[in-house]
Amino acid sequence: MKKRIIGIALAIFVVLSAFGGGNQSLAPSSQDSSAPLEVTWFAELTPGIAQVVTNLGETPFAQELMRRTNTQIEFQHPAAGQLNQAFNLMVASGDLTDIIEYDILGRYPGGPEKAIEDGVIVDLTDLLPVHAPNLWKFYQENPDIAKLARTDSGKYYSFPFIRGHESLVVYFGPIVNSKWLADLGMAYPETIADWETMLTRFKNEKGATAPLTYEPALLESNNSTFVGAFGVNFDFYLDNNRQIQYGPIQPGYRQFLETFQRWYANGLIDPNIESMNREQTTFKMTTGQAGASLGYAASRLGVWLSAVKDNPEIDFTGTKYPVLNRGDIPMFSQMDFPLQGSIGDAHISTAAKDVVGILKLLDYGYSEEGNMFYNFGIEGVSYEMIDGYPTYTDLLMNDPNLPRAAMFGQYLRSSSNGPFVQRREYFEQYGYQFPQQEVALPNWAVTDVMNHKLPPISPTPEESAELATIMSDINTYRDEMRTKYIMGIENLNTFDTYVRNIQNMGLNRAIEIYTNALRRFNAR
Amino acid sequence: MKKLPYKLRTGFHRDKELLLMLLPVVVYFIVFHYIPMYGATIAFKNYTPAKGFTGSPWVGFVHFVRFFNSVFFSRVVINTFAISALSLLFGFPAPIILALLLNEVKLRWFKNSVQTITYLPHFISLVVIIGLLREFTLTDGVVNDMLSFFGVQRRPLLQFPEYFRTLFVVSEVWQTIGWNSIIYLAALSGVDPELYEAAKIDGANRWKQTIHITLPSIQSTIMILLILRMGRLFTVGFEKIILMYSPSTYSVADVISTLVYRTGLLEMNFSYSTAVGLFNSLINFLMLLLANKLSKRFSETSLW
Amino acid sequence: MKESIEYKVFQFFNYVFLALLTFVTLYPMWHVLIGSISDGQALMTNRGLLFFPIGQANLDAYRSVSTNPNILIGYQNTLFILIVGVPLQVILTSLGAYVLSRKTFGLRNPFMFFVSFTMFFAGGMIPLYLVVRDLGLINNLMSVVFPFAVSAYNLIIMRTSFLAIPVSLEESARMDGASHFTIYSRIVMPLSKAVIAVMVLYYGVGIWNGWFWASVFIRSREVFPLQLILREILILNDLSTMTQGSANDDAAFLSEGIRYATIIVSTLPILTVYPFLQKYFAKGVMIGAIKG
Repeated sequence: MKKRIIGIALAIFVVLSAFGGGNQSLAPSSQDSSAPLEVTWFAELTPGIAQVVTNLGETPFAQELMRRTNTQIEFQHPAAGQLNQAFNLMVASGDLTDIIEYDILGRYPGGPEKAIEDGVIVDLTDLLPVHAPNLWKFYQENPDIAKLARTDSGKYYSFPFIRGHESLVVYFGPIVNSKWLADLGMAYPETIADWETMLTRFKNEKGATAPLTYEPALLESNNSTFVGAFGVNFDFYLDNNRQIQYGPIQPGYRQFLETFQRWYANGLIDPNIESMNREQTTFKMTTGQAGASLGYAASRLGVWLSAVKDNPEIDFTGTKYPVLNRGDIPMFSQMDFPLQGSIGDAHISTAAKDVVGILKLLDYGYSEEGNMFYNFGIEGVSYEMIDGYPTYTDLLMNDPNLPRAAMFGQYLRSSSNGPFVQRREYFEQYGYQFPQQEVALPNWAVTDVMNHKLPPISPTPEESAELATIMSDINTYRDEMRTKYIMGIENLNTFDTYVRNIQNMGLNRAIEIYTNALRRFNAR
Repeated sequence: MKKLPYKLRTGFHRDKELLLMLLPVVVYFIVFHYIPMYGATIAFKNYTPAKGFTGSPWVGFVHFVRFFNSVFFSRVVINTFAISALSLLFGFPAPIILALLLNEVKLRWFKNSVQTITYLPHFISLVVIIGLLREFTLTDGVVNDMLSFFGVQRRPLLQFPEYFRTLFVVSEVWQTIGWNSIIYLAALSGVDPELYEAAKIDGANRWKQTIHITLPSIQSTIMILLILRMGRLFTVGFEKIILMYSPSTYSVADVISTLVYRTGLLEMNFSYSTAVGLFNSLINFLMLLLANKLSKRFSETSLW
Repeated sequence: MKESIEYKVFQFFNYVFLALLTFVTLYPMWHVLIGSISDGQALMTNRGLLFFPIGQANLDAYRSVSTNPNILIGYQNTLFILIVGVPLQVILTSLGAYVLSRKTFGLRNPFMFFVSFTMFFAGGMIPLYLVVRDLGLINNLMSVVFPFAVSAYNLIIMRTSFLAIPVSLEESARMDGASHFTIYSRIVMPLSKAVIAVMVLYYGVGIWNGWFWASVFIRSREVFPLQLILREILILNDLSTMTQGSANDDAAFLSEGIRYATIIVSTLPILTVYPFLQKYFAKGVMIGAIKG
């Protein structure tokens, strides 16, 4: 009887575990060749569709993809904003999904080489030519992109998200309230001094309580708006002599901090800047509490423009990245390489059983048909060919209830990212909803960043372990001090100590590692 | 072996049923507590998931040395101690005082309502409490509204290091004062009313009665809870800190356990994170021994 | 017996102070309640003290919340772990407490040490994570139940309460040949309603409000408990799952109200449980805690 109790207890354990699980798909009893291939797929849930579905698998896009490729895909999505943690935990657990969609190149500590060495993802070098003919053909036709897609030692490791047209590599920049500028008789600001004048007048004459507001993450990320005017960025970059430098210890960085500290103290920057998020930025911009911000062409500028389309007091456009002296070309801005590491890059994990089958599934995105499907969805449903031009239908463009992002996200993936080549026709329809957006993009494209941005270089596994240790300390400290300087919590006369501290954390070693990696990249 | 303290054969036979009932509990503690303690040995290895627990190479004290040499070492240790000591200093006496004050209230309905209402925050999740705290401390939030009424300049309080600990402790007291007072109120209600009568006859006023009768009656409860609390002096509610802090407040908010969290779960430095955590556990354990010893010496109350 | 003037003054301030404390405790909850029925747009521009709804009082925010798939799934998952987890926790804890409260049990002290030691020393986050992983519980709702099935602290409270049950009851049952399991299930447990209520509350609140370990162990949105959804909305400030797709263009302006409505919906159930258990409570806590 007692054995029975233990037996029952065990049974309960097993049953409860089964109920409490995520997607517990039942394994098929036979491995028939026509049975759909079962695949698990880790990916961030396409932004914007979370209200409609909780899993990509429920969308028409995924259903159709499964049908066309004869697969049964189980998607696993991390919590919003928890992508990195969820990925790290998955790696720690060793319980990997078959396909991992994540920015391994940019975010895996140690990069792709290390991820292969750690046994997380599969080395695709020998597999692509044989089993992924479409991607391989693309690489043959675009050797410049292929160069970005492999590591120093020539390894291929991903099915990358590729921006297939030069008009797609710029999508982010400064946004100002152009109606206010017109009211005040001001031209678009070009220099930092122009900006200061503009923000001051916004504050004094337009009653803006937060003249400049932005989401801190957008100031920091690769885009480096404002700080770029002072000839530095928030990370490593190439100086005019093609030497690698670390921005946050340069004199220009101090000037940037001085400027922002002054702006913050004078009420030109949103006092709650560190707690800003998308909703609040949107709210402040569209209600006239703020007059300038940073944002994306579609998901910020486009959304804001549609929110104020009936408001005669507010209008927006994108302006050039600020510079120090009139006539300068901005040294930094958001401009992507066609391939530079995206959370839409798909990788095959070592847990995958049928690697060849998955190669086929992922390669589909780079075929003629797959390219149309990923970019435009299902012909006759989400798009029609009109005079040879794939045109989105009303279903996507004019849903009475849902914003475009939510509709697009259910039928295709070009509105975010994924393993395919993005096409310009997508952006021409999705991105240019308003004429103001067409003005913004050329403004944002004025830049010299391609001469200063680090290409996707890859340190060796040993180097990258060391680099990760050094940079984790430095980045924590940098972020902390930047915020404190800007908010005036820390006086800038401690800047020299700050620089010394960063150097003591091993910065020179980090620069050395990057320099070696760059040398190897250039030799590719 | 001359004499076993527990006669294995007869003992096991007699206690067979009890042992069986205890089995699931023992299994639980072994699996979820003792195995992780053993697993903590990855602090002395270079653990990578691919190589696994046994396959990862031993590296000795490398991770501990790195932690001790880290620029953040002294900071997290000091912060851990400071935040914990502050919440002890204010959070510990607060419920005792509340219990004593409530004990003086004669109106039953008033006493009951105050009690019930002050319990409520205990049931609200930290996520909600910190969510509200974040909102209330914005420059246009409720707290700033009130402060500006007194002429204080509006500031995003949660972003300023100088207010972080205050906000931490105040919200802690807000959440726990009512709940933690239950124990003391229960103890107070157990005091024999005749003692008070006797004291009154001796001419002791209410204040003296509190000092000589009320406080001694809850003294042992206070001591036990104090020891337990002291033992956790190097444990900080890191779940709360994770929800509250931001880069601008790291300098006062970053504690040992948040460092464990960040390095382990956000940066995949498993062995290093475990080493830091182990260091924390060890300190905690020593603190507890110390607290218990002190208590034994001064009040003859002890945990064991 | 006359009370002194000083005492009367003290009494006055005592009442005032306690009333203030009550206000400070209640206000944030009132603020949320009122905010949830206020006009969303008016709310965004007016974050100050709220005593009455601003704008036209309405239930739009609740309508949004009630149709949101994320909230519904979170609710389901939390209820599931509550229904499964709390009985499991209470049964295991009481079994342990029963055995360790038997004075005849020869290995009582070693096992007490075995249990108490875990209160003061822990392997840490990553090692626990690895164990949960090896049990195959990652991404499984039970990962937030099993690793926390018994709290040493609660076990000790329960044990103390069991110790207070008169031995005579047990002895007479033993004479009749009752087994330990019978004594446990027929005598001790029925006599311990108060402490069981306390345990239900302790464990229940822990499960309802827990978010950290869920954020560590659970990967898929389908298995998110309510608090993880709440965290997205309140802390990570990502309302995109809430506002997009609301049936009007003002979605962004609804957001503040939605935030509040979500808080109400997720907090009210647990707040209303307490009054029902309250009568057991003072008793239960006292028995458990005083003797430590």
